[in-house]
Amino acid sequence: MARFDFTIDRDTATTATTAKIADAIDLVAKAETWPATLRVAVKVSVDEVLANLMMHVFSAGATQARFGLETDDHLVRCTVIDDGPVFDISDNRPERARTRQGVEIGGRGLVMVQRLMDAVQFERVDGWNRVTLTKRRAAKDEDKETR
Amino acid sequence: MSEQAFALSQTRDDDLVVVQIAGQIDSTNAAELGERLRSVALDGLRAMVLDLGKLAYLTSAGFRTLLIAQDEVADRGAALALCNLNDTVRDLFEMGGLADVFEIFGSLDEVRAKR
Repeated sequence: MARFDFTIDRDTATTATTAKIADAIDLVAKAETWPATLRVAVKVSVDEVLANLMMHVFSAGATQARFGLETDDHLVRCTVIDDGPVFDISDNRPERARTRQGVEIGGRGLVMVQRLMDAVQFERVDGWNRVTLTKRRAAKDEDKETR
Repeated sequence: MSEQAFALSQTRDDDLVVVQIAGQIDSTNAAELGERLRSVALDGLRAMVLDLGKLAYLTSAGFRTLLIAQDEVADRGAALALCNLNDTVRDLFEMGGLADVFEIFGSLDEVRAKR
């Protein structure tokens, strides 16, 4: 079982903040010998949520956020909360730039998170937006650590 | 050292330039990858081939960089191709809906034979 939390302040947050959280996840993954599939699912999903926080949530008015990770024998759960305005997932579809082939350059993050995690929950709790990502842990012999 | 780094090496292979990307591409380093790909010389070459055999994973920030690179390489008169995707990276391309957007080859030999 592991647990850690990071406070993320809008005025000081950079990609180094995201890298620090990713490093902390790696430490837990190594200590608990996560299979490669679990590590990739969690790290990709957390990167997507934190990138959204840095690029969109802070510019929409949030000033502070917190990232938390907790594990037990059955689950890995990550939570990101922010003090920004109400997040409406159905309204998160801005016009995006496209490549010459007509392919949208952005807009894949949330879809990937929903495919990679077992549950993705958006809530408004006590004036904070809360995103909870949950991934079940496979039986220890189902997958092998590959790193 | 942070584990978020990637390593990039390049070799000239006849009229191709092969760029091997190892590590992981995410929101913390995708912009740097874009700059590094822009700096790869393409004069007179047919294609830039990204060998992703040692890439652990990439996030949507990495996909964004590759999509932009595809247009930029075309602007420079060459084509962008990918090869050696492992199962994890291939699954991520499929999740991102990009498996058919790039020219993806099983190996560098396949690139040489088909391009």
